[in-house]
Order: sequence, then C-alpha cells, then structure tokens
Amino acid sequence: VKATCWLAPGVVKVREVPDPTLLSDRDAIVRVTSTAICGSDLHLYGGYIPAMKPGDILGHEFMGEVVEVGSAVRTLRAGDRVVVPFPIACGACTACERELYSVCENTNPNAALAEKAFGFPTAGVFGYSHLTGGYAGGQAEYVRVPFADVGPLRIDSDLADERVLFLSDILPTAWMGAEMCEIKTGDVVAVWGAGPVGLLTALSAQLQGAAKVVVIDRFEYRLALARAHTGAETLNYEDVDVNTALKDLTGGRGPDACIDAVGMEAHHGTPAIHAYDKVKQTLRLETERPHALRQAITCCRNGGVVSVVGVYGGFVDKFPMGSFMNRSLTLRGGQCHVHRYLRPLLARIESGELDPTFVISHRMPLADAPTGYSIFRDKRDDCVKVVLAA
Amino acid sequence: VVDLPAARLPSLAVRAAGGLVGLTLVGLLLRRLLRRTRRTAVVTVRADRADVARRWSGWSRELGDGRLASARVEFSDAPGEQGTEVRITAHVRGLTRLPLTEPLRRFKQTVETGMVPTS
Repeated sequence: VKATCWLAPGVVKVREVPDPTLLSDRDAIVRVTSTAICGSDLHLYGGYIPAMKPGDILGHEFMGEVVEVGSAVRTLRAGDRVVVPFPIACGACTACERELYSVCENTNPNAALAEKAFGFPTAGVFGYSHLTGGYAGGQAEYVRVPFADVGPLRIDSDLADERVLFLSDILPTAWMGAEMCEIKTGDVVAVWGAGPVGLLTALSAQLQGAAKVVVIDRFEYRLALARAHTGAETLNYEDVDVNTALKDLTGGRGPDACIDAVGMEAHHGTPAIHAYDKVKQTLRLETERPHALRQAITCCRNGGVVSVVGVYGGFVDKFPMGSFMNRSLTLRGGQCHVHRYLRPLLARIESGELDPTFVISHRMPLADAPTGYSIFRDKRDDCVKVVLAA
Repeated sequence: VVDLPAARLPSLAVRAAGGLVGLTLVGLLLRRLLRRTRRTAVVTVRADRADVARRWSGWSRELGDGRLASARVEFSDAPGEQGTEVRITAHVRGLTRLPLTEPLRRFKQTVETGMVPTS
C-alpha cells in the first residue's frame, strides 16, 4: 500500500509499504478515505520531535472504512465508516476510566522512552514518533487500528468525510482548549494562533459562551478567516503591541483566559528575539520557541486561566514563572482526550451547529502529500489546512 | 640506610601517590562488583488483589527469568479503590542487570487489556 513516510527533517515521500495486518484480536484494518496534515505534523517534518526513524508512516488525523476486524472487536464490522481518534486508548486503565485517554497507561509500547522524556509515559499515538509508541500513521491507503473496540467512532449518517474528519483531532483539541478555560458569561478569551486549531478554538470559545474572542496571528489571510467564521476580533502582532492592544480591548483587565494554539515553533514579532530562540532551538539549548506561551501568560488577567493545546515536546527557556506565580494564574494543558468529545461534537455537527470545514484550504490526493507538507510549512498559497484523499 | 639523591624524591612521591590512587580505584570497583544491591519496582494494576496475585504467579513463570521469579513480590490494595499495588524487590550482585519495570508494565498491560500492545 502507499503511505506517507518521514525520511529525514524536511523530507517526506509517498512510498510503497507492506500491507498492515491484524496483530491482535482487538485490532481493525481501516481503508483510509480521508486524512489530513496536522500542524503538529510539521513539528515532525521539521525534525523538532525526537525519536523519529526513517520510514516512519505519518498521520494521526484520518477516517475511512473498516475492512477487517479482530475476533474480540464487537463494536465494529467490515464496511463500517469510522473516524479514528489520534490517541490510542485501552479503555481499561485508571486514566481511561477518568476519561484521560491521551495519557492511557497501557497503549505506548515504548513507555520507558516516554517515561525518560516526560517522567511518566503517555498514550500511544498514530504516526507520531517512537516516543508515542511508533505506531504507523494514517496518511496511507490502509492503517492498522489497535484497540478498535475503544477508539473509532462509527459514522452512520451520510455526512461528507470533510464534515467529520476533524473529529479525529483538531476539533476536539480546540473544544478542549476552550473547555479548560471554564468560560463564564462575559469572559474575554484570547487565542494565540489562527491555524486550524486556533480557528476552531475561537469558534469553540464562542459556542461555550465567551462574550468576546480575540485571535492573534501575523498572517492576514488567516485572521480574515477568524473574523469571517468565528466572529472573533483579531490582532496582527506585527502591527500592534499585543499586551497593550489586549488591555485596550478589555478595559485594562486583560483577557480572562488565554489559549496557546501555537506551540513549540512560535514566531516572534521582533526579529532579533525570534533569531535568538531559533538559534537556541537549533543548537538544542532549548527544545521549544515558546513566544506565544510567554505572551499568553503575561497578557492574561490576574487570576485568569492559560490553556495550552499547542504542542510542546521538551523544555522551554525563559518561562515567566514570576508572572505566573505572583498573579495567581492557572496553567492547564494536555493532548486532547479525543474519545471524550467524539459523540457530543458529532451531535453538534449533525445538528448544523458546528461546521469545521471552513479551515480547509487545500484538497489533494495522497500522492501529493510531500507538496502538502511543503506548502503548509511555508504558508504558501494561503495554506491553512491540507486534506488528502487516499 | 638508603641514600636517595634529593632530586629523586619528587618522582618517588608522585609514583607512590599514583599507586595509592590506583589501589583505591581497584578497591572501589571490586566493592561495586561484589556488593549486593536492592532493586525495587512498583506498579498499580486495576484489578482486585486476589486476582492480581493469582495471575502474577503464572506470569512470573512465563517470564522464564529465575531471578525475577525468586524476587519478593508484595500485593497491597491501592488507595481509593484504584486496584492493587504490585511491589517487586530483588537483590542483585554487582553490575548485574535485572529489568523490573518493563516486566511489571507488561504484567499490568496483560491484566488490564488482555495483551501486550505492539506497534
């Protein structure tokens, strides 16, 4: 079968790989009909996430048709149309019982490696380095889905793939990012990043009751999408001082909640500072460029919440601990516990309340995945989100 | 009485110090090689104590590592009805490697999910 393989930083190719097979009676094989390139895939593409090996199959946002199931899988059968959550969860451990699926205790075969990196292991994830298990990803024609009796969501309606594909990651991630802010009536929420997750986070914050949402980015075409589809106000950090502008928009109080939907490869509006962090990241003196996170912390109102859904992999430098501690902020984060949100969000999509398709800027065949990665990374051709049809 | 020329005294002192350092290092190495070290690992398995203890006996035999099978294993109830804590204690000599955490992790996976996940 054809699959998108990571070969080296900046190099992905679509190659022929062996057909996936059932390795356990709780597995399923899915023929992928639609898959997407995630912003966090760009961290792999750029070589910023450790423990990648040449030939690793990428992709953790995908859906398709079940073609084979293991004997223990009672919830699915061949022919079912499913969306597959990106974390692989066993459904039986204490974390899963608490609906903390992305920190499932049992599904990461390389738990020892993750334990060294993070202190405790996290769940297995499709196509996201050997740190999260080394599972083959879904940017392929076929994929093996472990614990198929726990994760995949069957889609019984005739909704187009594009309407439901993002249930696999970015829509629940965005929803959780807003939910972690515990938005109350009258709250102002600021979102750093107008990429796919940032845009859907702004929309989620609106739906969860925010009085005002402010989206911060530097790409005007993305900010225009935020204004058009989420009702948010926008700030271009290359044009304004974000802290001052946010105070101006909030009567001097600052946003009640700030959401970092950027993560480890943030850009800084001041070239010298951006270059400083980029050099340090390249030399591995720090693993992240946390400009958005720093700004989210310093801009948040006293006693507010900072929610982190942008992906970080290691260690940040110059974390504003003084601001965080002295101003009674709450910092929350996490890879999304996707399974928790699948059905409620599907219901909102089916009712027409939520339509995440506005983030799609490019549709292309799987064979063009390398082009998709390239234009997404370089923000060429007003790229926001690339969907690949397998 | 040996009559040493004064010029040779520093050289002898250096050699004596070197010998002393060398002997100390050898001593430390021998001590490390001969010392018995206590290793422990613990995991919480989401199942009741009797079930966990019963399954452990079969599991440890399957591992085929006599040293592990002879290790001391304790089972106790985890607080808040979170299952059973399995604590394994083994004594190994010197630099012997005896992985404890991974077998425990595989045991937990087997009890909780019925298998050891692979990618």
